[in-house]
Amino acid sequence: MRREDIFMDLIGELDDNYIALTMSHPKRRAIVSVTRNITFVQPVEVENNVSKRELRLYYITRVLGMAAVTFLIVGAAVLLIMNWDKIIVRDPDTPPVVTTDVTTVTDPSIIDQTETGYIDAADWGITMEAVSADTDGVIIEIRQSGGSFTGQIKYGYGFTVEKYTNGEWVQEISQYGDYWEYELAPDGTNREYWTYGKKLDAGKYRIVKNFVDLRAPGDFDIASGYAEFEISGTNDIDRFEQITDTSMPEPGISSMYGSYLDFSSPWKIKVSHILLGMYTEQRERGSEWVKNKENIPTPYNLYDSMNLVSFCRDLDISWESIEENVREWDGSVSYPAGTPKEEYEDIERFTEEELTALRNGDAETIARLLASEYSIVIGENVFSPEWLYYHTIEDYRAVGVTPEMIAEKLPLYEDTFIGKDIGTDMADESWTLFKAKLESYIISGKTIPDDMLGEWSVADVTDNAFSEQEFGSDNLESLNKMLDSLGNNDVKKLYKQAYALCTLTERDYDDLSNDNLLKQIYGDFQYSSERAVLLDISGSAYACSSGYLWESFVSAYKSVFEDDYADRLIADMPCVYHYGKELYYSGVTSTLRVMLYPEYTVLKNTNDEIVIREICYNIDYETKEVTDEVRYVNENRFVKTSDGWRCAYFGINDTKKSSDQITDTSAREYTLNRIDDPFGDHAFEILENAFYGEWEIAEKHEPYEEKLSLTYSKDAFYHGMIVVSGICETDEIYAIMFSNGGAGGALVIEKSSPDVMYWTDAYPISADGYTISVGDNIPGTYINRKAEVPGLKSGELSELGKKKLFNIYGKKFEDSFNELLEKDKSEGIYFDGRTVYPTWKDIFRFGEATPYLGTLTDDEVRILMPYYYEDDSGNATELYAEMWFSKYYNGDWGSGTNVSITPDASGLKINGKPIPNNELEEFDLDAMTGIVFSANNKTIKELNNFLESIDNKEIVQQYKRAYVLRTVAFASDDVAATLVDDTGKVVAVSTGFTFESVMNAYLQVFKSEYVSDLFADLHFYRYGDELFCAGVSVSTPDCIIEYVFNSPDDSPDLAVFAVMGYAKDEKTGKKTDEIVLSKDAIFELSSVGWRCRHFGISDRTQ
Amino acid sequence: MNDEKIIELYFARSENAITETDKKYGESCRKTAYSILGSHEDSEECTNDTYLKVWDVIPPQRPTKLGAFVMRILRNLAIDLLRHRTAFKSGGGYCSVGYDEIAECLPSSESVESTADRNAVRKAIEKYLSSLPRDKKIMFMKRYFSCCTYAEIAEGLNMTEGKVKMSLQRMREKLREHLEKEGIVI
Repeated sequence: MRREDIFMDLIGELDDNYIALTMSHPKRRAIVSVTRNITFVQPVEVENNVSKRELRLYYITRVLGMAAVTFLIVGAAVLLIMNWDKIIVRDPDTPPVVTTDVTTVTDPSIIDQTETGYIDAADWGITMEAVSADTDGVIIEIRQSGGSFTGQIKYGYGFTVEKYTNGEWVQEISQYGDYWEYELAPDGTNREYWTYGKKLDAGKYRIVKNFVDLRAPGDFDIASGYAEFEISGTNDIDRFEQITDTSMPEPGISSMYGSYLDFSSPWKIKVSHILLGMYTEQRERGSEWVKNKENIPTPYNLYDSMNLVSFCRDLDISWESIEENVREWDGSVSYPAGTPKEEYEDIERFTEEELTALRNGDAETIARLLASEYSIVIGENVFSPEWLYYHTIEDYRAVGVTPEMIAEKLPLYEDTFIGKDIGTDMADESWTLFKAKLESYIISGKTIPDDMLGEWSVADVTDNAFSEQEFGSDNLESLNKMLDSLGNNDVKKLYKQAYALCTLTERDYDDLSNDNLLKQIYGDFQYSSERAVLLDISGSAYACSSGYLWESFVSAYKSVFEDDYADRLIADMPCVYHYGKELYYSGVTSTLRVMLYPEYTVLKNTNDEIVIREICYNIDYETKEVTDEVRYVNENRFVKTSDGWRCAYFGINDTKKSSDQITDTSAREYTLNRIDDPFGDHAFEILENAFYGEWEIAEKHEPYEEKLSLTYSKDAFYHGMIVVSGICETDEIYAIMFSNGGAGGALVIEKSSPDVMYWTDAYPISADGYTISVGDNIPGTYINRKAEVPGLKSGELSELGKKKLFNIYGKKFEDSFNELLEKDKSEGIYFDGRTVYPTWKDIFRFGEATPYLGTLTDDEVRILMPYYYEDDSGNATELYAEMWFSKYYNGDWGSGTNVSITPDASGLKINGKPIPNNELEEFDLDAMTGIVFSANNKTIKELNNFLESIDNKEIVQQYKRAYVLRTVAFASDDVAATLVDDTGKVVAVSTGFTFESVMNAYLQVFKSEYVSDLFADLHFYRYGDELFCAGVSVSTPDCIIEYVFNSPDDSPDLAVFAVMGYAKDEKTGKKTDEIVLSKDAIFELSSVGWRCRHFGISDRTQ
Repeated sequence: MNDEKIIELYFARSENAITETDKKYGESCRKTAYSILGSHEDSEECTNDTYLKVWDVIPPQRPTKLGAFVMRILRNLAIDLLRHRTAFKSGGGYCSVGYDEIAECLPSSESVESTADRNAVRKAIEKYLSSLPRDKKIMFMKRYFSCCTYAEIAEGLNMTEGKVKMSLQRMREKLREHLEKEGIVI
C-alpha cells in the first residue's frame, strides 16, 4: 500500500474526539471567547459589574495559571485568545443536577435555538439582565430563582439579537446553535459575554435566548428569555479622537490572531504580560488601571501602555514581587510538543539584562531591549505599527521617526501584515493606504534640502540645443545669418533661447537634471528609482527630482518670454512639476521629428516688434515613412516690453501644426463623432462612454490617423495600459485625465456637445486640480477634480474592463468573477512544479499581464492570457492561461481557471450534459501506466520483456509513460457529453479528466514544444475544466515485432527506441524480411530528466 | 434522540435505530461521503452501507460517541469505495485531497533513522493534533478525514479559502517535521 493510502487510513483511525470535530458547527467570530469545555475552570466568586476586560483577564490568567497552552497574552489593549467560543462564569455553589429517565423521543439538540420558544422563561424563574454592552458584545447575567421547571435547565450558544425599530423588535442577528451544553443551576447565576459577530450601531436592542427544561434526554420543554440593552455609540470614539490620520480605515487585522499584537503592541509580549497572581491581587484597582490604559490609543510611552513596568509603577507595587512572579512563571512554562520556537520565543523567560533594566526602570534600555521587532524605538519611546498606521507623516517627523527607520520596517510589515502567515492579513484597502503612506514618507526622505537646490539656467539648454548634433552646423549658420541681419543682439540671443526652451522636451529629458547635485545626493542615481519621485494616486512614479529650484525654472522662461506666454508654455509642458521648491520632471514621448533644414524670413523688424517666419522641413517618423518631408511654418514674434525684449510667440513648440494650418490655431483639437447615445454625468458613465462608445473620425487636422484611433484607447484601457487618474469637469466640459506610460493626457468632452471628444496632448497636475489646454485658442483651462476613478489603481484599469463585463452579464456574473479571483488568491499557474505566471488576482490588481477577451457570447465568457512556458533548455511554447465563465440554465455562472494549449476557437458546440468541474478526475499518469503495463496480452508482455532488458530504468519509465500517452484512448467509460461541429458530427467526446492534469502529464514526458504538436494531432479540446478527445485508437498490423534500444556512446544524453514489424510468412507464420512497421521514439536527457522529443506510432485512426 | 437512546435501540434490534441514526447523522454522513466520492448516488449508497455496518457491530460494541463511530465507518467505507471505483482512471486519488498534499504530511525517508509501527504513527499524529487550536484541528480533520474542499472548510469556519489553504499547508509541514522528529517512517 502506498504511503499516501496509509496516511489516509491512519487519519480514519484517529481518536473519536478528533473525528467528532468533523461534525463541528461553524463557530462565531468573536474577539473573546472560551471553549465549551469551560467547565474545567474552577468556580470563582461572581462580582457585580464584572467587565469584559476583567473576564478576559481572568480567563487568560486562569488558563495561564493552569499551564495550559500558553499563547494567551495580555497585550496593550488587545488580548489574544484562541478558539474560545464563550465566557461563562459559574456560580460556585451550583449543585449537580441529576437527569431522570428517558421518556420521550424528540431530541432538543436538533432544534434551532434561534427559534423562539412558546414558554416565557420567567415561568421557570429565569431572568436575564444585560450587565453591560458595547458594539461587539453584551455581558448578560442569567439567574434562576423559584419557578416551575421540572428538570434541568440548559441552554446553548444560539441566540438572536433584535433591534427596537419604529416600535417593533426587528431581528438584527441570528446566531445558530444546536447544542444545549450549558446548564443553569437552581438558584444559580451565570454571567456570560456573547459576541454578536459584527459591530452593532447605536440603538436599543435585546438579546433573546432559549432554554430547555430537560427532564431526560428527549423529554423537555423550551422557553425564551430576553435581556434589553442599549448601545450609545461606537467603542472607538475615544480612540479616534486621539488619532491624527482619520482618513485611515480600520486596519482589518483580526484581533483573534497573533499578528494583531505585532501590529498594535509596541512591546514584546513578555513585557505586556500581566500574570494572574499580580492581577488578582490588585483586582479592583487593576480593573480601573486596565480601563485607563485602554483609553490611550496607540501608546508609545512605557508608562502609557499596559506592561509590567507601568503596572508596577501605577499601582505602586514593589518590583520585587513582580520579579518573583515573573521568575516563577518563567520556570513553569512548558510548551506543547511540536510548537515552533518562533511562536513562543517572545514569551520565553527574561534575560538577566532585561530584568535589571526593568528593575531599574531604565526606560531607554527597556525600550532598546524589549521593544517589539515591529516597533520603532526612539529613545525611550516605542512606536508600534498601529501608531504609524493612525498617524500622519507630519507626526512621524514630529516624534523623530525618520524615513530610514520606516524603510527598514516596511519589508517586515509587508511580510507580516499582508497574508503571508495565516490569519494575519490586513484588509487590502488598509494595506494599500498604509503602504502608500509609509512609502511617501520614505520618498520624502530623499528630497533635497531647499538650500542645496541649484539655479536652472537657460544658457545650459541653449548651448545644448544648438550643438552640431542637435541642430546641425549648416542650419546654425543659416540661423545666425538671419539673426545677424536683424541688427538686434537682444533678439538674436532671445531667438536661440526661445528655440531652446520650446524644444526642451524634444530632447533628452536628462537635460533638466542638476547631475552634479543629484550624484552628490543619490550616488549613481537612475531615473525614477534612486532619486525622489512623485507618485500618482496609484503609487506609480510619474516625475523625478531635478535638483533645481522650481522658481529658477520659471524665471528662466520669464526672462525669455512674456509672462503670460511663459506661464502658458510651462503649463503646456507635459513633463514639469514642482514639489516643495524643487523642479520635478518626467519623461515625455518625443514627437520623433528631426529637422532637416529651416528657412527664415524676417516679416517685420521695428523698434518694438520683430516677426520672423520660420519654415522647417522635417522628417516625420510618425508617418513611418522617413522619406516624407513635412513642412512646418511658424511666425515667431518678439516684442519690446518694459523689462526689455521678450518673445511673445514662438511656433516651434506647436508641433502639431502642419503647413496648411498656419492660421488654424485649433490645430490640436481632434473632433470625433460619436455613434451611440449621449451619456450621463456619473464618472463611470463618462469612462464607459469614452472607452466603450463607438467613435469614428469625422474631421481631422492631422495626417496621423493611427494616433486618432480610439480602438487603441479602448484596448489600452481594458488592458490596463492607460491609467486613468481622475474625472474632472468645469461648467463646460468633462475631462478624463489619464497617463499612458510616461506621457499623460486628457480626453475632453464638451457638455454642450457630447458627441464630440477631444484628445489633448498632455496635462500638468496641480495640487487641487488640473490645467489642460485643449487648443491654441484656449489659453489653459483650470478645472477642479470631480472624482477619482473608483477603485482604480495602477495597472488596474482592467477594473473598468471588468465592470464592463459586469454591466453586460449582471450581478451573478460579477459574483462569480470576484469569487474566482478570490479563490485564485494563493494559486499561481504552475507547470512542472514551476510557477510560470502570477495569479489572476495579481494580474488584475497589478496589471502584471495583459489579458484579453477570448469568447463573449450570451452564456460564455473567456478571458485569455498568453504566456510562454520555457523548458530548461530555453525552448518556449506559447500557452494560454484562461479564466472561463459558463452560464448555467438557472442563470448561475460556473467559473474556473485553466491553462490551455488550444483555446477553444474551434466553434464546436457541446452536446449532452458536461460533467461538473468539481466531479472531474485528475489524470494519474503513473496509475494509468501501471494498469496498461500489467495487462495480460501478448504485445504488452513482449514489450515488458524487452524493457526489462534495459538497465536505465528512468528511460524505461519515461518510455512506458510516453507509450501510454501516445496509444491509449482517453474516452471515458460513460461519455457524458460530446463536442459536435456545425453539421452535428461528433468531433470529440468527454474523457472525465481535467484538461490541466492531462496536459501536465504530457509535459512530464514530452518536450514542451512537442506537446503543442501532440495536442493538435490528438484533437484534444477543453470544455470547462474537462478534456474532450477525439477518441483515438491505434492499430498495429499482424506481424512479428522486434524492439531495439540504442543509447549512443557518443551521445549519452540521447536514447532511441525502435520498433520493427516484419511480415509473417503466410504458410509458416515465421518472420520474413518484409518490413511492415517501423517506428521510433527519441528521448533526450535534459536537466529535468529524460523527455521524449518524438514518439512514432504506426497507424492511428480517429 | 440522544446517542444513548439510539444505541439502546440498536441493542433492542429495533430498526428505528437506523432511522434515528439517519435523522441525527444522515446529513453529515452524506455530506462527508459526497466530499470523498463526489457523487450523490455513491454517497447515498455509502451511507446506507454504513448503517448496515453499524447495525452489524452494535451490539456487541457500545460506542461512547456514536457520531464519531458512524463517521469513522462511513469514511473508511467511502475511501475504500473511492479506491475501488477510481482504480483505473486515477489510481485511487482522494477526491479533493491531492497526492502532493498528502506527501507534504509524510516525513521524507532520508531524514529519519527509525521506523515506527502503525499505532505509533497514529499516536504521533494525535499528539501533533493535540497541540493545535480547535479551529486548526477542525480544519485538519475536515480536510483529511472528511475530504472537504477548502471552500467547504472556509465556509464552516468563517474564514477565507486562502486562509484555510495556507493554514493547512503550514499544518502539513509542521506535521511532517513532527513525524520526522518522532522518528517516524511510513
